[in-house]
Amino acid sequence: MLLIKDLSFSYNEEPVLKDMNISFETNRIHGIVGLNGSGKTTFFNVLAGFLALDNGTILFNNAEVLKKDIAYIDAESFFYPKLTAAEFLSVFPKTNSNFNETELAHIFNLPLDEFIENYSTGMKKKLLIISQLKQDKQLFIFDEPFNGLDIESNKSLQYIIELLNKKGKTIFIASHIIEPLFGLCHQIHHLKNKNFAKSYLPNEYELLNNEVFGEFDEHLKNTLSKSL
Amino acid sequence: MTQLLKIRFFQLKRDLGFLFFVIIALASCISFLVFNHQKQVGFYAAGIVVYLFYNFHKNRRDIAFVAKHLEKAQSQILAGYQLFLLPVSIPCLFTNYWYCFFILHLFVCIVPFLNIKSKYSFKFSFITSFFKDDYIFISGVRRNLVLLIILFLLALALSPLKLFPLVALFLFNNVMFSFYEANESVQMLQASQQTPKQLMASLLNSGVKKMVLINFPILLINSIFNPDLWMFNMYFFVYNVLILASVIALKYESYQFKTSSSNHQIKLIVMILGLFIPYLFPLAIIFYAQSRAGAIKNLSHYLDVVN
Repeated sequence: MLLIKDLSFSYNEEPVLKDMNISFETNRIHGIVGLNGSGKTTFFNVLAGFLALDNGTILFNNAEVLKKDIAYIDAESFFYPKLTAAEFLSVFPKTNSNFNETELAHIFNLPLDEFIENYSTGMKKKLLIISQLKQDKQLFIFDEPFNGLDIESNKSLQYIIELLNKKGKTIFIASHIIEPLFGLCHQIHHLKNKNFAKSYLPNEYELLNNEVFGEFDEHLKNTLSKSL
Repeated sequence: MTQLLKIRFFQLKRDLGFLFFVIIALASCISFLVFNHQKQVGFYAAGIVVYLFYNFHKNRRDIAFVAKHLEKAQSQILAGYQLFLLPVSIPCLFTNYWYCFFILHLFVCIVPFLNIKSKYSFKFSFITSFFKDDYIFISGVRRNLVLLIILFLLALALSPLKLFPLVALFLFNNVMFSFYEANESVQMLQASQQTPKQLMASLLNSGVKKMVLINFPILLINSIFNPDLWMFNMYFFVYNVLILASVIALKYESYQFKTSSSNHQIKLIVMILGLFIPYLFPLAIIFYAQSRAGAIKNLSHYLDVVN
């Protein structure tokens, strides 16, 4: 169980996450949805331990979350200059014994002897994913993993996430593109007003679209009808 | 026209505060002492000052921002450099090297217009084999290979002479210090599986080993040909190790996982000046101690504190 208790985080004294209390089952795929600015990325950064909490605790199987147990695939990553993809991957220890760099690079269509700065945004994202798969981590955080990926890589990534889950990993995914989450996640959690408003099980996913975007859609339609 | 100077003023106020005026006063005093020296030290000092400005300009991360958002960008950059040169150049006017005032301002005038970037990217696969998974050196050497070779050969060729090899070696080390300006992503940082203290120690250890390999042969030859300089040569090496340690500490003191580079040129320039101005040595030690403590604290956000 990943237990979050009384968690609060503020940025420049402005609360971003407030009094958050929630538990996530381990060995499950959790989707995180919310409108832009709802704090999804901040929640992930807090979960990864990059940001100092104002208050609260995060426990993973009744113990403090260790950074070495977390694989973080952020929405926008940067890479060290003048390194080839192969050199970049060599930095990461191979703690996942089944990991096959060549096969994964082939699946994702990545030329490993190229300089990373010559890669497209999608290729960089795929490279980062491979680097994290090389390590045997317990918790995988994917922030907008489908952005910038071609259709084949999108499909491959969905299979990879399913496979990781079968291997007992706990996975968090935030995505603006909500449809892939429906097929992947065991639970989807709605982040709203600095806290988790509701968690949805697969049989409730039909409600989710309406509850997450309903208010926004109505406001948008009204505003647009007056503006155009 | 003065926007950039205002920004620089706020940066200095934030980074150095009152120390800025102390440093200006010290720099002026030392500049006077150096240029008033009997031997031809003034020429080397002038060369190093111009190099420091060039190095600062080359590594600036705000050039694109300045060019895009500020009017007459190059003139603003030029005005800033000319102004910051004054504490060093004015004292020259009261020495036998009075003409260095004009030389300095003339050469620094060219700096904003220098934008040397290689269009070609060579992999030099031997670099990968040599440095294995030391990505800081693979990337750094790849970016500066030609310059490093020239400076090393120059230092080696001049090693029997007084001072000349040290200038070349200092420039070589300075290029090496610039390797640490790029930030690695948080994933790369965590790949080391080290605690903050272990990471800092291992980076320093790795850097010092390479410095020994490059610096020692030249300093040894220099000390054999100039036995009166062996103490200074030792000081030169120790001080360069201190700069390396500070460069690493400064980088991680301000490391942020969303930022691809850190820039502590101002503190670094003060530290580098300490090599020529022994009075700045205590300040360099203070900067290092402060930065190391800050770096360990900052890195604890990204690395486990215990293994």
